[in-house]
Amino acid sequence: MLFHLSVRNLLRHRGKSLVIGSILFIGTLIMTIGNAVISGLDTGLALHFRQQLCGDIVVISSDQIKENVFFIPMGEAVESINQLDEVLRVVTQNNKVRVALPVAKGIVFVLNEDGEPYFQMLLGVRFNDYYRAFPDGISVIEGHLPTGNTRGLLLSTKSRDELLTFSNTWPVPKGETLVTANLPAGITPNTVTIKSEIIFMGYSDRDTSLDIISTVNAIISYPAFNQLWGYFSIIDIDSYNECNGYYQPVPSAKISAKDRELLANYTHLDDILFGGTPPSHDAIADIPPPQTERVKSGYNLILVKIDTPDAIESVVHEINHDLSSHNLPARAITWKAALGQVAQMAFLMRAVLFGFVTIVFLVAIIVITNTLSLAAMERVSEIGMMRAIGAQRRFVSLMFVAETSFLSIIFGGLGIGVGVISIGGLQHMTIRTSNRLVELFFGGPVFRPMITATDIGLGLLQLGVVTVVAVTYPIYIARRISPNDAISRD
Amino acid sequence: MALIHLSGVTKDYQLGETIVPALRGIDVSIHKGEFLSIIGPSGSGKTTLLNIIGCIDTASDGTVIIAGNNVTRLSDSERTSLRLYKIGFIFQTFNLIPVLDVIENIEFPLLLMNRESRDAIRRRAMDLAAAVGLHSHIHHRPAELSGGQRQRVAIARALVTNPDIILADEPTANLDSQTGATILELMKQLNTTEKTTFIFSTHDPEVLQYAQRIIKIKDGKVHDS
Repeated sequence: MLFHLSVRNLLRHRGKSLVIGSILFIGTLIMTIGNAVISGLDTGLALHFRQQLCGDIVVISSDQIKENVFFIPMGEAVESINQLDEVLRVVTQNNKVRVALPVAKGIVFVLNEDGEPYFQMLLGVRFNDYYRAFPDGISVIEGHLPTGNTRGLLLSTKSRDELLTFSNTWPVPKGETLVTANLPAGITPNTVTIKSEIIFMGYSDRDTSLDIISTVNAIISYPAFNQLWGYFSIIDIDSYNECNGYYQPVPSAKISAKDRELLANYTHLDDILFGGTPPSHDAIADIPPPQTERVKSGYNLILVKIDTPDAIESVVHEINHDLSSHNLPARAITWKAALGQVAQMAFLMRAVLFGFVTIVFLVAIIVITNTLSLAAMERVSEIGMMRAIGAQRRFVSLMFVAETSFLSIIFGGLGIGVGVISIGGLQHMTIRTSNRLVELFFGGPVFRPMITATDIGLGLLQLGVVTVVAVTYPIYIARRISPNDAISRD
Repeated sequence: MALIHLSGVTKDYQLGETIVPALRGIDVSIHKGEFLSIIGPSGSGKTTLLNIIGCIDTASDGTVIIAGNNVTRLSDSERTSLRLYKIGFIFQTFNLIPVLDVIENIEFPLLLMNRESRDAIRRRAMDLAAAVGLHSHIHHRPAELSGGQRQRVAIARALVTNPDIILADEPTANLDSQTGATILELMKQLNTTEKTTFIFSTHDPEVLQYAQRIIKIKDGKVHDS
């Protein structure tokens, strides 16, 4: 009876039914597409950043204060990880860790012909380890990827473009011919300096940097976020360390007494040259042998990939617990924390989308509540008469729930269905962008909204919530209608 | 024992800051099988009294006992059940459910009771539709019926649960005299055959000739019974 009554009431008040239905349709359509865009953004970020660029977890030094280690402002150095081997051993002992790649991230300088410096961001790695960790992480535009312990440089397209702007230099991989098609519009081979080697000036706060000549092996781009991640070129770790003044200790080195004396005199050379008193022999004898430096390399990040990407937080917690229990000076952070404002921007966009969907959600609730409340007030005679002949308040409530549920199922279902079809259409359209912000919004270079069973479930849940919330107040009004109200109205 | 017993029943309505007394101490007993009319001028309290007997409204003071239940102590849900199981209503303005057809309107209270099978309910409703002369209109919606036909549907609906009491508020007010007479004949016949207690309010002197007993109300008080 409730079914018949509800369906016929909806048909009788078809104007209102259509208004409510249209709102439900539009609301669920927008919610479905919005949820799909959010899912696409999440999946895109996970796919590109986590799988191709920075991993799920980043291990940094305990001395590193700022966590946004990739895009840290003003070229601030990221602290090197001490006791790297022990840290690596502890990290890889976690059975959820699939890959742990040490990376040295820092900046070097390039001078132009006027002697002006231009900074270049580098990732120092063992090439083979990098390829294993991020097999889809780079695309070769020109040249060939070096392997093994080869020294070399994978120069990003973005860095090459900036070198062109800054120094009118167009690097080409060693042994390769110029690919004129890759030259920017308006640039010809005659107007630029073609080079296969770049001189990098090390940048180190330890005053131990060197200039190195790095040979370009390949020009690369990143499959996603090239406008952002393209600031990083990849260099072999030995060149990186050399350039930035990191060196390997030689614990077995012995210093003879004579050398120690010379060393002591050298240490006090300023005093000797500028009027100081030379140290006595006894004083020299008291000089302790030089301590081995604890920092052995420029490695300041360990990029970690795990088998359970949905459990990043718990794995971070586990690794930190293990590092702490081994008293190691390192800590793990999530990829989002390591990306800092970049991740925040992506999540801000997610929040904006979510906010938009929520507003649609609220508008739907308000309009439906209003319309149903009016409908309840217009049906005082009918509802009051039902109550007079014995219908309980529960029956009236169920009648309203049934009517709204029918509309939700039909129009909401239609909205979800059309939403799913629209998303399929959007996926086929392959909308691309190279804009940095839009790329963050898309979760990658291609707009790929995704609809999953979870999204459809979420859409149904949202529809259910809209239905329940929207019908609550009208039910409250309807339940308060007494038989007397119906009679009074007559 | 009386089927309906009202003792010292008062009913006041609040209109802004003014309290308007509608009933001022009604004492009435009505027995099973009576065919009783409540008469009085407009505003005398007839409808209020019917509403209180029908558990549609509550008394401000006094005791109302319907079929052994002290109504003043019942919850809304219990009063609703009492209306469903013990009382049938015939309203002045027919008050049918517009989206249901004749047979569905008649079935409605039985469906609310949910005690019998759909087939049994349909048979009972069909019998009553035939009894009120509407067997050929069972699939018509209220809007497709005349005033007399609608009132007959209301009577059938009131009777379908075999209630102890049927309350009719000016049942012939919106009908022509011939249809009104037919309706009253039908009510009288059911009163005789089913021993159903009929209580109706009216202004119409012709209706009064059907009443076994008349309660006169004026200014919220019983003047003659």
